[in-house]
Formats: sequence, structure tokens, C-alpha cells
Amino acid sequence: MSMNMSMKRNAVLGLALALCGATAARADEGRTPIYQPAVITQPGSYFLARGLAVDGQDAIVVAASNVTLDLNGQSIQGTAGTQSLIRIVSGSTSVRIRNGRLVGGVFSIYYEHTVSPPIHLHVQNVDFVNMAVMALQIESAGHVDVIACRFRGTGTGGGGVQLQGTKVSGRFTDNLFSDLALGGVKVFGTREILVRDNMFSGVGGEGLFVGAGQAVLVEGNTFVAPPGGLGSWGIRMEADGALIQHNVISGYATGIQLGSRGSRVIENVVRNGVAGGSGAPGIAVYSPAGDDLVFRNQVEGNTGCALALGAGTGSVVYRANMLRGNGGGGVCDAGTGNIDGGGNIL
Amino acid sequence: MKRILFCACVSFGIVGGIARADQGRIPVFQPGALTQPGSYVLTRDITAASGIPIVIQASNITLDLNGHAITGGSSVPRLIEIQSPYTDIRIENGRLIGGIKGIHMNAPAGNPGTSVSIHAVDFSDQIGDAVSIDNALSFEMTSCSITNVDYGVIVSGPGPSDPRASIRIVGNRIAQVSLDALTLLWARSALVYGNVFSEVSMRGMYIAGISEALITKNVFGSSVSTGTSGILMVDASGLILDNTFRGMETAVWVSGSGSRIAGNQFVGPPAAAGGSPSAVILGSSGYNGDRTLIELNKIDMHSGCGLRFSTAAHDNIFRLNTLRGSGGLAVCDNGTGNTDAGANVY
Repeated sequence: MSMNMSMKRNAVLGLALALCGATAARADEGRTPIYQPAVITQPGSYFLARGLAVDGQDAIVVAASNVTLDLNGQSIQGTAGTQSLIRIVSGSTSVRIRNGRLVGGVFSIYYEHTVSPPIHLHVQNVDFVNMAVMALQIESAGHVDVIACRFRGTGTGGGGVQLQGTKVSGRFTDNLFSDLALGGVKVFGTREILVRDNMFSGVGGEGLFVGAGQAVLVEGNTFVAPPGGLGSWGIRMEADGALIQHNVISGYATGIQLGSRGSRVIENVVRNGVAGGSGAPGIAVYSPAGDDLVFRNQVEGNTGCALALGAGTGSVVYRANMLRGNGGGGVCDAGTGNIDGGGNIL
Repeated sequence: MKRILFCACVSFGIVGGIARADQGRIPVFQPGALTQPGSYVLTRDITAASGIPIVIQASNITLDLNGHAITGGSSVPRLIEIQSPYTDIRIENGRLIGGIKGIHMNAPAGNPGTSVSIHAVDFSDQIGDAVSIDNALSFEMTSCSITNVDYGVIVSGPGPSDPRASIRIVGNRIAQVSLDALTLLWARSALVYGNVFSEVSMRGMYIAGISEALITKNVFGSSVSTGTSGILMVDASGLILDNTFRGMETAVWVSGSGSRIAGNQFVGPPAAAGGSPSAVILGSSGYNGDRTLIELNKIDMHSGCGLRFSTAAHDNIFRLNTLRGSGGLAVCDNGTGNTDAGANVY
């Protein structure tokens, strides 16, 4: 009797534990949990099992390639003395980070060293909050996707994304950048960049800066400068051959500035450029720019010229723009050989 | 005994809750065949030196790679094979590394129709194709990345006469493809939207036998100037709208009737690169390029021709284009009945 009871008891308990164990494994479906500051040294699929708070140390260090890190809706919070909430070690690539919140720290996600191999990074559905310097700082970027994220600074500090490299490609779509004093998106060494359907709200410095390179499409974004004159440029484009269309830009000292050749600026609304005083143009084209097309834009309510063509520019064609209502006049042309293609309303 | 049963019930209750949390998906943790409809989840990385790691032998299957990777050696013919005649397959959220092909389906002609959807999968280092699907009734690929392969995606449908035959490629990044990034064949419609094509070595897109294609808001870039093209359409037509192209010998080459090429930004290779660059070519040997409307494009090719009409190009119209900076000729017309409809800027 005692033996039978004991066997039955063990059988029932064993079944319960077996079920519990088997199902616990299925609960995280084979992903590796992270529940404290950690260094990821192996490729694989990881998830944050609880929120982390760190003071002065990196919360998560990625020291492997082919890593997927699901923040699982949790937060990683760092003090102002924390350098990086997530630091990616030189040589790691093909990293995906998604679905959570990164609060505080100097950098939210940081890939170190400009001499590192270019990284491929995909960041999706992450909230970046109150970073001291930059949410996403990639010193050596290959391709970076930033999709459906939210960046919110303190209003007096913090920036969105800065990518450095020699052949940087990337996609920035469906993001919200707000209260960032140090700029929204900055890309240096551009190859192919798509910036579409983002909101830049209260973003100072440059809403979007694209450094030397080619093949950029900037479309359907809204840029609004913060109050108090912190906004310098809505879009500052130094890559050749950019297509900038269907954006709304408001309140910047310069709405759109081209320092590149062969770009096309079409059907944007640029208005209320007051931050830079009387020198604030809606659209500015500066040397070494040339062969650009400025077409069907609405530029109004700026304290400077609607369209300023700087010394050294040439063969810039502007036509069918609505350029009325700007303090500095419609067109201020200090270049040579720029062309009024007709249909402008001055 | 009652206490033990209570304990077991509690455990089972927890188990039940967790089972609901992971939605009762079927774990996959080793190579094998999926022979029943259902929702599968990869619970660990799989590495294979030979054979096919995952074979799909049922319809109505969702396979969540769960952030994990399937890695194949150079003798693995494909990492995931979808066998005919199975349909309604969705593969998402992970990595496919190496092998000869990533995802492959070779349905015979007359296949009743396969529907395949791929979402958020990173493909890399396939010797052959990342994705090849024959005789797909519908195919969708979104938010994926393809790097360092021979061909990116090859999809063929049953032909344009079937109105259900459709292809949708949205929000992907395809780079370092030694041959064609996208090959889309014999469907009624195709949407290619918001993708970034980097380091194209041969063709960004090859489209044949598709009657209604919409190719819009993509970014194409190449570091190889000669022999490269952004879009090659043969016996196909559609709307090519608001794309940017950089550095290809031929950005868009259309052999078909009734297309519209509008609002695109073309920057050619450096003049010193040689070759015979063109932003747009209409018509080719054996295929006419007729009745195409080319308008509102910005073309800056440095050398060669902006618009090139072959002897097989007839009755095309171009207007409102900015053709400055072509270095060679703005328009090279060897066809018949092609019309400058005005307002082009030379």
C-alpha cells in the first residue's frame, strides 16, 4: 500500500514536473533569457526577461554576430554616467534589436570605433528616451535600418541617430523624433539612404543631415524646429543626386540646404523660418552645388529669401514654385547661370 | 495524495497559462519535415552540413524562425524547401545563412497556385539564390535583408493572363548581389516599394512578362559602373515613379508598351568610367519600347545620353524633364515618332 502510494505519488509529481519543464522550455521558445547585465558572446536569439537598471556600466554588450535581441517590452535604464545601454563590440554584425525601451545613458546603442568593420544593424519598435548625447551612435556603419522607433530627448540635450562610415546605406521609416537638441538623423559617407514618413518634432541642430555621397530619397517627412532658435536646418543635404519631395518643414533658420550637385527638390512646403533672423532662407543652395532642380515647392513666411542661390552655384533650375510672403524676397541669386524655368510666383 | 494532486493541478494550471502564452505553437529544434498545417516556431539554431534542414510538406504553415538562424554548408542545396503543391506558407523573423539557396520552391507548370510570404528574414551568403519560387500565384516579401548572394530573389508566376498572379516586394534591403537583386517573371502585377538596393553588380531588377508593375520610392546604387542597370523590363510595362538611381550604366531600360517613367532621380557613373551610360533606354532587339510617357525626371548622367530611344522605340513622349548635366547628349533618338512635348530643360 505504502509502496503503491509512493509510486503513484512519484508518477503524478513526475508528470507535473515533466509538463512544467517541457512547457517552460516552450514558453520562451528556445530563446535565451537575459535578466541581468550581460555580455552576449554567441550568435542566437535573446530576450530581455526583466527590466534592467545600470549605473555607470554597460547594460548589455553584444560581442557576437548574428544576434537577435528582443527587448520584450522591457526597459533598460541607465544613469547619466552610463556610457552605453547596449554596446556592440567591434567586428560584430548582423544584429537585430527590437521591441522595448532604452532610457538614459550617454548612448542608447553604440557600435564602437570608426576603424571597425562596418556593421549591419536593424532596430525596430524601440523607444529611446532621455539619452544624454545620441540614441544610436554607429561609428562604422554598413547598413542600418531604423523602423518604427520613437526618439525623445530632454529638449536641451540628446540626439537621434548618427552613422559614420564610407559606404553607409540605410532605411529610416515611420519613426518619431522629438525634443532632440542635437539633431535627428546624421549620416556621413552616404551610399543609399531612404528617409520616409518620419516625424521630426522639436528637433534642433539638423533635422536630417546627409554628408557626402549619392542616392538619397527623402520623402513624406515633417520637420518642426523647437522654439527658441535651436533649429538650424530642417534638411541639410551634401550628397549628390538626392530626391527631396513632399516634406513639410517649419521654423528652421534654413528649411532645406543643398551643398550638392544634381538634386531634385520638389513639392515641399517650407515655412516659418524665423530662427535665423533676416538671413534665414527657405531653400538655400550653396557651392559646390549646381544642376539642381527646385520645382513646385511652396515657400512662405520665412524671414529671409524664399530661395537663396549662393555664390559659386550654377545651372540650378527653379520653376513653378510659390515664393511669396518671405521677408528677404522670392529669389536671391548670387550665382552664375542659374535659370528661372518659369512659372514661379514671386 | 490530495496534496500531491493539488500540487500537480497547480503546476498544470501554470503550464496551461504558459501554453496559452506561447499560443501552442509547435517547436522545431532539429532538421525535419513539416507535414501538418499549423504554426511552427524554431526553438534553437540549426546548422547543417548536408541535406535540406527544413522541408515543408503541407499547406497553411507559419514558420517563425524566432530570431534563430538556419545555417548551411556549401553542399546544402537549400535551407528551406517548400514542396509542391503546398501553399499558403509564411516564413518570418530569423536568419538563413549559407547553403546554395535560402528558400526554394520548384512547383511544376500548371501548379494550382502557391502563396508564399516572407517577413523579416535576413538572408546571407547563399552561393546561389536567397529566394527562388517557381509558379507562385502570389508572393510577398517584406522587411527582409539579403546580403552577399548570387541572385537575390527569383519569382515566377503562371503568367500575366491570370489576374491573381501577384508579387509584392516592400521595405527590403538587398546588397552585394553579384547578379540580379530581383528577378520577377510572368505575373499580372508587381509592387516594388520602399526598398534599398546597394552595391548592385549587374541588375537591380529584371522584370519580364508582367503587365502591371508599380516600382516606386526605391533607392538603387551601384559601385560598378559598366554593365549595370537599375531596372530592366522586357515585355513588361508599368509605372516607375519617384525612385533614385546612382552609378549604373543604364538606370532604366524598358522594352514594352504603355509605361510611365516619372519623378525619378538619375545620377550616372563618373564620366571617366566609360561605357555608354543612359538614364532611360526604350526598346531593344526583338522588343519595342512604345508609347511610354517620360516626365518630371531629373537626369544627370555625366556622359552618354539622358534619354536613349533605340530603333525599336516608337511614339514615346517626353516632357518636363531636367536633362542638364548629361555630359554627352540629353536625348539620343534613333526611333520613330518620339515626341518632345515641351518644357524639358536642357
